Amino acid sequence: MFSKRTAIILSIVLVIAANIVVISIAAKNPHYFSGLRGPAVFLISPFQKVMNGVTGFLKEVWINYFFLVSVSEENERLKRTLEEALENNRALVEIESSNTRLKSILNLQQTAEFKLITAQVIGKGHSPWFRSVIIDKGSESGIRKGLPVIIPSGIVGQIIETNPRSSKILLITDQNSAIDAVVQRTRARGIIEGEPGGGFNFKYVLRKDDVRAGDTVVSSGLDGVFPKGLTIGWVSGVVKPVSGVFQEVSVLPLVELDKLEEVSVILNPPKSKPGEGN
Amino acid sequence: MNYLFHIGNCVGLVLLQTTILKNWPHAAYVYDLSIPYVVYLSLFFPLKVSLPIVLLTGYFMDGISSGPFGLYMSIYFWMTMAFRRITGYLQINSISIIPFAVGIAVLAEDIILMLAVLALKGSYDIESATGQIIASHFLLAVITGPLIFLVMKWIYERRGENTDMGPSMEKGRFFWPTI
Repeated sequence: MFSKRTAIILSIVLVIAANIVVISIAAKNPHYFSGLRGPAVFLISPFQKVMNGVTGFLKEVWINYFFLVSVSEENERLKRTLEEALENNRALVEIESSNTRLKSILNLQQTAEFKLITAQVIGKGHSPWFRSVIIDKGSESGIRKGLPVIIPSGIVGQIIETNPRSSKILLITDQNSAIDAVVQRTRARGIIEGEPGGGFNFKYVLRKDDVRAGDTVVSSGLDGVFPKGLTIGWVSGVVKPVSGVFQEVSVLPLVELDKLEEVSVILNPPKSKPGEGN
Repeated sequence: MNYLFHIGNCVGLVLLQTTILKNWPHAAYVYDLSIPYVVYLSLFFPLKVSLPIVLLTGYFMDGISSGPFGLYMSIYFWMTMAFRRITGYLQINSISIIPFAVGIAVLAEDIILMLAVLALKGSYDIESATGQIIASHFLLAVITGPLIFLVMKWIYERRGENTDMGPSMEKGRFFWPTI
């Protein structure tokens, strides 16, 4: 019925179609294939741990011995102090703002305490299309899918996959990541989405809202994943179109995601209900 | 033993990209370094050697990536098939063609990954940084692709490995394309 050439072309088209269907299923239902993905991370993570240790050691040797030890240590200490001071300052602004708004209603702000577990980053995909990191703690340490991951200076991402001794984090700069966020100063609300350059698009911010370059963007707590008030980034640019409902807001991360070494996973994230954020 | 050596190479490349390159702040502008290796295996080794290694490399990349499972495996698989097919018409074993072969492979991968990301997001707005990233990947691949090829050729020649291309790897033919 068909010539050999037509049959070959037809079978190639069929294989390509089957391939696209399988990938679409994998994209829509990642859990179907998590069993297949697990062994890859399980096999590669011990090597990553060793390599990470070696590179960490070499980095340390370079910093501590080949450069001036005292200057390096002091610089490190000052950077940490500055980071802590900046974070404290941001937290204070957030608390002050919250207090002003809530005092008249509640007179009391209940602060939830989080149970954190610290993990070491052992691997990171460098692809700009899918941004993820692998940490050395997994389900054996109580980590499960969906938990938020933070560092003192802000949000890192969310656990998307766990193995007994390792987990994968979807970074907030990934294009598939979305966080409900507010501008700290004016409480203008929107959705923070990653973009390939490593920054964010702050989407669905109403045109009438007051947003300026330099404003700090924090999590609203309304997505039910990330606790309220965690730093995400700062506004780097605002474009208000002549028409339309929303403005275009660009945000840059405050967390240096390229230099992640240790992260904290929140084991008991608060579950917010819509309306609690403001 | 040869398979072990190839597996070592593929694991080494994955580790290089996920543990060493991660320390570099501009790593996102570096293309997928597995691509020159996939192209090299596709061009110079029989399918029974190249295909399992290429699929294994894709499997590891899929394991580490946060994208849909099978995406890298599919890309590497079709890339291998395409290069095998092309070599039926054109000998891509010359240093003057290799940069473009690697460049086109990197470009194809980037476009597929970009389309996958857009499909996952359900939005077809292309960010401004996308063009810069794709351009930097392509340029870097064109410039460094041949260097990686030369390193691989040197390694495999030192091991005395028999490639699929046989005499076409002679020096003269390596520097000038043959059709």
